[in-house]
Amino acid sequence: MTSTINEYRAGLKVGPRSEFLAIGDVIPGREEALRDTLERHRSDPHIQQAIKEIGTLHEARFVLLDGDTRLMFASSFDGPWDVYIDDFARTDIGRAFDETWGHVQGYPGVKSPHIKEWFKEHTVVAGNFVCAYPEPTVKQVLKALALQQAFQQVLDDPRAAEALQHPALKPLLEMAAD
Amino acid sequence: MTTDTGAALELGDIQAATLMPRPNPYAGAYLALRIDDRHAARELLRRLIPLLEPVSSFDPGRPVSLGVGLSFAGLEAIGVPAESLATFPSEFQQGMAARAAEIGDVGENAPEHWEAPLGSKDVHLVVAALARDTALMEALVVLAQDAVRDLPGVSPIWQLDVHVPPDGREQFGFKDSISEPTVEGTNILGSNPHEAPLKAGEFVLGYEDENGELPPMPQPEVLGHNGTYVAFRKLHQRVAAFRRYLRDNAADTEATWLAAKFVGRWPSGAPLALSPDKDNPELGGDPTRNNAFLYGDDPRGLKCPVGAHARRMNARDSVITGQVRLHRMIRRGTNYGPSLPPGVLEDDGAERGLMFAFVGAHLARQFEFVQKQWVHDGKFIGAPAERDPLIGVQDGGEFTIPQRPIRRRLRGLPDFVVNRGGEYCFMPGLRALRWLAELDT
Repeated sequence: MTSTINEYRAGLKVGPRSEFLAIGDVIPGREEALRDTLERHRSDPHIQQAIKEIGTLHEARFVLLDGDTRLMFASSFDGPWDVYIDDFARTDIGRAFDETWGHVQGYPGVKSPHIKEWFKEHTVVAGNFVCAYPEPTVKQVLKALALQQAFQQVLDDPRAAEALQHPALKPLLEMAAD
Repeated sequence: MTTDTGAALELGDIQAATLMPRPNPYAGAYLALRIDDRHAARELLRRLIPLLEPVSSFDPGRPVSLGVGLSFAGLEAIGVPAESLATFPSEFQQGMAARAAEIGDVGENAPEHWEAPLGSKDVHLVVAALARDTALMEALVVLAQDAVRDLPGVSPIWQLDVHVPPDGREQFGFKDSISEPTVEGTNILGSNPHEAPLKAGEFVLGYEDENGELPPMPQPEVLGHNGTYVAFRKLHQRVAAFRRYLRDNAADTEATWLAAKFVGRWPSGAPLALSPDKDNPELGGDPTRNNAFLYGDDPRGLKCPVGAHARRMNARDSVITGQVRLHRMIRRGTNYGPSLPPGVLEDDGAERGLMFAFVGAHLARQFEFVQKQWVHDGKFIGAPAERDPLIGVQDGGEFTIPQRPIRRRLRGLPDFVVNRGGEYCFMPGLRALRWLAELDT
C-alpha cells in the first residue's frame, strides 16, 4: 500500500464553507484499536459539546477504507480548517483527533508544530462539493433554529394572534400560518 | 387495447378483482384457508377458476366479484417448486408479520397482538368475495364454501364479513374510495383528470412500469405474468376515541372542521382543496369533480394541511421528497363491524373498522414505502415530528393545521387505528391459477 501524500490544494467551497478530507495509512496491528476508538467517540458527550462550542464544523465523518488499512476523515467547515487548528488542539476535538489519528502512520500529534504540514500532505480535494443550504454558517444555522424554537413557543400562546397584529410584526405574522 | 410500448395488456388473463372497482353498494367476505394437502388445494383451484372473471369480461353492472390470492406459505403448501419460490421478492417471502418493524406495525400493532391466525404461517389462500347486496353475497360465499366442501385437505380458518353501511361511509363517517389511478391500457377511468394514466407495470407483472422497466417477475413466466401483489390489513377503528378527541380539541362547531383537516376531505367526500371552508355535499357526491384537483396552489397547506391523511397518501403535484408516481397504489376499503351510532362517545367494545387491501406490482416500492415514509414519517414534508394523523402509530406525534393568522399545532396525538393483522398475497392471472392447479409436484 502506497502512502497517500499529495501536493496540497485547499478544498472546494460552497458559500462560506469549505470541504476538508484527509486520508492516512493505519499502523499495521492497530486496526482493532482504531475501530474501538471510533466507536467509543460516537457516544462521547464532550466531543459533541466541543463541536457545538467551536461552531464552525458542519459535519464530519471518519471512515475506514480498504480493509481497515486506511483512515479517511471527511468534513466541512466554515472557512479554512488550518487557521484554527491550534485552537482545536486545546479542546476535546484535539483529544479525539490524537486518540484517532494516533493509530495512523507518521501522525505527529495535534499540538505538534508540523501538524498543518502533515494534514496538508494527506489532503485529497473533492471533485465536487454540494449543499442544500449554501448560505449560512454553523453559527447562523444554530441561531436560526433557536429563533424558530422561540417563535413556535410564541405561536403556542393563545394571545399570539392578537399580539402579532401590530404592523411592525407583519413579517412574523406572514410566517405564522404554517 | 395496447400500452404505448406496444405490449398489449392481456385483459383476458388478469383477475378482474385486481383492477376493477368493487361493487357499490357492497356486501362481502374475506376467507382465509389453510392447505394441509396440496392435491386438495389444486382441486379447490380447479373449482374456483370457473367462478373468476378476467378484466376483459368484467361488467360494471355485474353484481358479484371474486378474487383469489396465495401467500408465500400458500405457494409453498400447494407445491410450487423451490426454484420458483426463490424468484419471489424477499418482502413477499417474509410475509407481512415479518416486515412489521419495516412498515410501522409496532406497539399495539405488533404481530404478537394480531388476531389469530393472521400473521401465522397458516394463512395460505385468501378469497375475497364481494357482491351488490347481502343476498347475492351469501350466494357467492356459499359458492366459495361449496368449492371447499368434501376437501378435508383444505380448511377455512378465518372469515371477515364486510358490508357497506347505510350511509355509504367508512366508520369515522367519511365517504371513501374516491381517488383511484387510471391504469394505462385499460378502460378503467381514474377519478383525477389531472393525473396522467399510470403504466400498467405499476399494477400488473409483465408490463413496463413508470421507470420504463419490467418489474421483477416470479418465474416461470406462466406463473408470474399478469399476476400482482395484494397487501390486506384488518384495521380496527376507534370511532368513540376519534369523536372524543374531536370534542376535546375543537369547539362544538369546529369538530367536523378538525376531522376534515385530519382527513383532507369533508365527510361528504368534498376535498378541502376545492372547498376549504365548509363541506359541500353536492361536490362530494359528484364523481366528475370530487377528485379533480391538485395541491399546487396550496403549497403551505392553508386549505388542505400538507400532513393530512389524503394528501400524504397522494401528494399529487405538491413539492415533497420523492416521486409521487412511483408510489401510487390501487386501494380497496371495505367496512366491517357495526357502525357506532351518531353522537355516541363511549366505546361499546365492538370490533369495527376497515378491511384495507393494497393492489400493486411492487410491495416494497409502493405499499411498504408509503407505510414507512408517508404514514410513519414526516421528513418528506419537512415535519419529522409528524405522522399520518388518522392511520399512523403516533408515538407522541404532532399535527400542524396551517391557517391564518397562526397555525394550530396538536401534540401527543392518540392512535385512532390499530392493525389487527394482515398478509401479503400474490394474485395470479387465470393462466397461472390453472398452472398451479395442474402442478404435478
